[in-house]
Parts: sequence; C-alpha cells; structure tokens
Amino acid sequence: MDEKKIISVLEHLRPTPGVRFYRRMSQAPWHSGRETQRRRPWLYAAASLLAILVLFGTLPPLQALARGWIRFFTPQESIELNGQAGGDREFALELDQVRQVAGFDLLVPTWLPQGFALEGADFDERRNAVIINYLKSGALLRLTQSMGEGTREIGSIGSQAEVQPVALNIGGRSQQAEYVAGAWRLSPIGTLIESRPEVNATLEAGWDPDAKIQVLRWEFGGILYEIIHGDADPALFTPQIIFKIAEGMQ
Amino acid sequence: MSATGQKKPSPELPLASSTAFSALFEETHMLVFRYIYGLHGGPVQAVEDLTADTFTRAWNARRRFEGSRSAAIGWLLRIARNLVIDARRKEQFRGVPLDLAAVIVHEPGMAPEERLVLQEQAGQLWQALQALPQERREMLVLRYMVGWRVKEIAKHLNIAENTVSQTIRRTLKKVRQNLEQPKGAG
Repeated sequence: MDEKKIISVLEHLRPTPGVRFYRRMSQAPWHSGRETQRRRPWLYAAASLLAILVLFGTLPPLQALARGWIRFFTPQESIELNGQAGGDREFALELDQVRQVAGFDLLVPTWLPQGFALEGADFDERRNAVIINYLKSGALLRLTQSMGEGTREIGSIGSQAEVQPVALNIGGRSQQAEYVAGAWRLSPIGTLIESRPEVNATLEAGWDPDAKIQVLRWEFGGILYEIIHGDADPALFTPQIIFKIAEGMQ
Repeated sequence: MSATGQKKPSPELPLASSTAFSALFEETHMLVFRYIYGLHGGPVQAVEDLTADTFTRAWNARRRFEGSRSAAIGWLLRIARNLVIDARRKEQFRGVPLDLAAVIVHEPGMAPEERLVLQEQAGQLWQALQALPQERREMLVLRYMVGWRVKEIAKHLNIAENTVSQTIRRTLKKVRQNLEQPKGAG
C-alpha cells in the first residue's frame, strides 16, 4: 500500500454513531424541553388508538405459510398479545439521523392530511425497520419501511376483514398495494396502557371492522412499505386519503 | 462544506441557550464522533459513550465558554481528546479490530472483490494507525477522516502549517513502511 492508497483507504472510513447513541442524546438536557412539548399531545389524544396499532405487523414469518392470495396480510379469528401492550416507542430521532442508521433509502411523504406534523422517527433493530410518526389531535399517521428480516413479518387482520388490492402510482411507477380498514381491539380498551404499562399477561384481541384505522402495504426493491392512518373525523377517513399519502411519497 | 459533508457552523452564535447548544450538537456531533473514533480506536459503543460525554461536559461548562462557533469546535475536540487520553489510560488500550461494517463507506458501483480488498486494507491500516503516537494519529484523523485542511489543523493544534504538512507526510511514510514489514518482523 503506497501513501496515496493509505490516504484513499482513510478517506473511506466514515464511522457513524448508532441508534443507541441517538437515543441517549435525545434525553440530553439541551433537548429535554423540546421533548416534553412534543410527546404530550400524542399521549392525551391517541392513547386508545395506540392499543390497536401495536398489533399490526407483529406475526412471525412462519405464519405467512397460511396465507392465500393475499400478499401482505394474514386473516385470523383472533390474536393473542404476549408481553407488554406497547405504545412505548419513542420517536426521538430526526429523519437525517434515522437515514444514517437505516442502510437503505427512505421515502417520505410530500403530502399529508391537514393538521399532521412530524413527531420524529425511530429505528426498530429487530425488524430492521424505520418508523416515522406524525401527530395530530385525535388522529395518527405512522409510516414503516423495513428491509430484510422486517419484510417477512406479516400484518394480521381479522378473518372477516376485506383486503382491497389497489394499483397506485408511487414514485412514477405503477405499484400493486393492499388496503385494509379496521383494527384489532383490546378489551377493555383505553385504561390498559395508561394504568398498567408493565403488564405481562397474555391478552386477547378481537377484530373491529369499524375501527377508524386503515393500513396500506406494498413492496418495492426489497423494501416493505406500510402506512397506518387513523382519524376520528369521518370526513378525513376515506381510502383516498391514504392512497394520496402513498402516491406522494418520494 | 468540508470533505465530511459537515456544514460549516456560523461564527457568532452563543452557546448558553439550549437552542444554540442543540444546534452546535447537530452540526458537530458527527465530526466529534469521527475524531474520537480515529483517536480512540473503538469499539463503537465506547466511542459513542465518549462522544456523549464530550457534549455533556461541554453543556455543563457552556457558560464558561467565550468565543465563536468555530472556536467551539476546537473546544469540543480538546474536551474529547482529554476524555480519550483518560479512557485509553484506564483501559490499558490493546487495540480493537476495525468494525468494518459500521465504518467503511462503499462507493456505489464498487465490485464485491474491490470491497473485500478495501476491507482488508482498512483492517491492516487501522492497526497501524492505532500504533502511532497520539499526536501523529490525531493529524491523520483530522486530515483524512474528519476532512480538515492543513490550515485548519495547524490553527487547532497551534503549530505552523508547514509542520503539520511535514508531519503528515512523514507519518504516511512511516505507516507505509510498517505495513510493508512482514508480519512478526516487529
């Protein structure tokens, strides 16, 4: 290796901090004021929606064998939730930070329903997934992009849920996606997460086709994309809303 | 923009407020992390902790800092250097293999065999780098991993530009000679 090559190799060394570092830094004192202001609306406005959201995309890969023609979802009569009920994810990373740890190119929406604002992002190491969360009182919007292990996890839906195949134009390409409305609902809902965040019991959830939650999934280039959108306002809860979000992703 | 893609910070913002300090963190944490990584040698988690400790110390001392934003970077790096020296002394540093997956940037279109060669060379070079005296290692890290110009390094280390250039040239030559020595030849 001559000096020129040594310089070239050194210039290829570009270490970057991992998720662990950014999580720690999100709690740093110079960030603390901002974090308090950002999380409170989410806790108060959408606590009940969190209980059902957590159940999407958590089935192990083997259950995909039971799927029929549906590509991204698995119908089930009911599901059991083991361990903590969830809702504890912190969206403490900026988009630039999560881009650095993702290892793949992220898409972000260029259009959002009125009133949504970016809360932040998180990286799920187990699923190799980037999760971006947006906030609005009484509503939710969460985008998940996973690669590798994460693409093999299947969204579970109720046996009576209707999966609608849709052709969308995303990034200038015609893209086949699947759309489902409804969600698994824990019973009793609402009080569980707030009063017993450490719960470790096995909980049963039933499918609620009337839940104001809609999910859209598609795959391109080895990356699984998922949008979960919910809104208590019926005027803002139509399939066209989530389709428009997807078609605006770049 | 420097060679690392870091934005050049604007010169006159104070550090006392959390907003100003947060902006300083956003602009400089990658530079500080890479500086510490090159100086300390890893593993990644130890470097992350040292980077976090650097900013925590700077935050605690922010009201005593008087100077421009560019001076703030030098101040951060001096805090970082002291932490690295303490850490290596306590840990009785023996050298850690380079975490290739976390550290090397592969250019688009690079063939798999080119990547393997680069990884092997980087691993060997990393060991050679860690064996250098700290002052020389620091100059190489600042010049090629952080992407500073000789002029910036000279200002930061308070030595003549010519001295920096000569030291870097001599150090590169020394590293090449060490890499050429057969294994076990000392």
